[in-house]
Amino acid sequence: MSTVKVLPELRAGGGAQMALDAGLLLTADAVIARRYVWTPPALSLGKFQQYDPVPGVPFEVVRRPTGGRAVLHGEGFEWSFAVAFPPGALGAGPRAGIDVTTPYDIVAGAFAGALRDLGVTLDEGRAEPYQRSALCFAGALRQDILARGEKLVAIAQAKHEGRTLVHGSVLERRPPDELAQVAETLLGEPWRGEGLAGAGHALAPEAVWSRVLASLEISLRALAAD
Amino acid sequence: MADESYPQDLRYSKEHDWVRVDGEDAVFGITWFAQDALGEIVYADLPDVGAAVTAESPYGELESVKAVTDVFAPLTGEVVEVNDALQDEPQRVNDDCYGEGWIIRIRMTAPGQLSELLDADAYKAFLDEA
Repeated sequence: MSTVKVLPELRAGGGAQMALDAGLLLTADAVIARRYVWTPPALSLGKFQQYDPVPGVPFEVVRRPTGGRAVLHGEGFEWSFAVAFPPGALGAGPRAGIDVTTPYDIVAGAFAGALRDLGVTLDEGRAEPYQRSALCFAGALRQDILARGEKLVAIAQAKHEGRTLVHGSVLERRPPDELAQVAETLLGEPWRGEGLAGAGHALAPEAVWSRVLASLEISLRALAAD
Repeated sequence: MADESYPQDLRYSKEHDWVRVDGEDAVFGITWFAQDALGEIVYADLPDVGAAVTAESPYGELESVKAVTDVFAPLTGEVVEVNDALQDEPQRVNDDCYGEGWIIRIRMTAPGQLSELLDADAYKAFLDEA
């Protein structure tokens, strides 16, 4: 029997997508994973990221229940995912409630393994100041997943009352100019980030996601056996 | 970041918060273990002065480079002071978790709850259970 409950792909706007992820953080009673597509495009901001609303923005601007910096989402250049862990799924004991490393490592490790399996040579990590950019894909931390200097996967996490939500975004290619330019104007920074295309790859989302799910199963079974 | 320590004059909760009693007041913060587990703190979302906090319930959130997490109140009371310096320098929680990285001060309304908290040796033993 699968450890991970996989929800069907949801194609919906930003408000619905973030409401669902926030709901998973509040109510998940099993390990639940989903892949999703933002349609129409939207910009997501970290829960506490500063932002001055501007009228006339041609896409929805939503808050994530997690932290981090701004991510531009949309079909054709990006896809997203979420994994929710219920209380106890990541181990027990006094350290489990505050452990933010294990859930991150499980999900990031699953993506790194999937990308390598599909032929992507990942960079060694690099360490840069956290708030170097208001745009998530323009800055990378030591543990982020990069190839040829391009950040491929953005990952953010929130913990609430024993549950953990890890969600994120896979950048397939640079967004269309009409979207990127608006994001640049809103956040006051030039767009950087070409994602998988910038690293010389075009991977079907389903191929990546199926490998990620398989890796999650293995990791969670190993954790349960410890 | 300071070396790992758990001062003897503080009380501790199993949610990894510390309490320093000061007359009718109690000052809260998170332990060395907690700040180390969370990583670099980049934002602190804290309650207003006058807000009520309840033991074992979240009273704020900390964003680190790894996650957004709740901060739990070890005692019940009313917030009388907030460490506003954390708005500009949230990393004080990492640099000096028992000093300049304190988070809020409350006026205790149920001081009997202090007896339910751990002393430093018991907290260290709790951490060693893992």
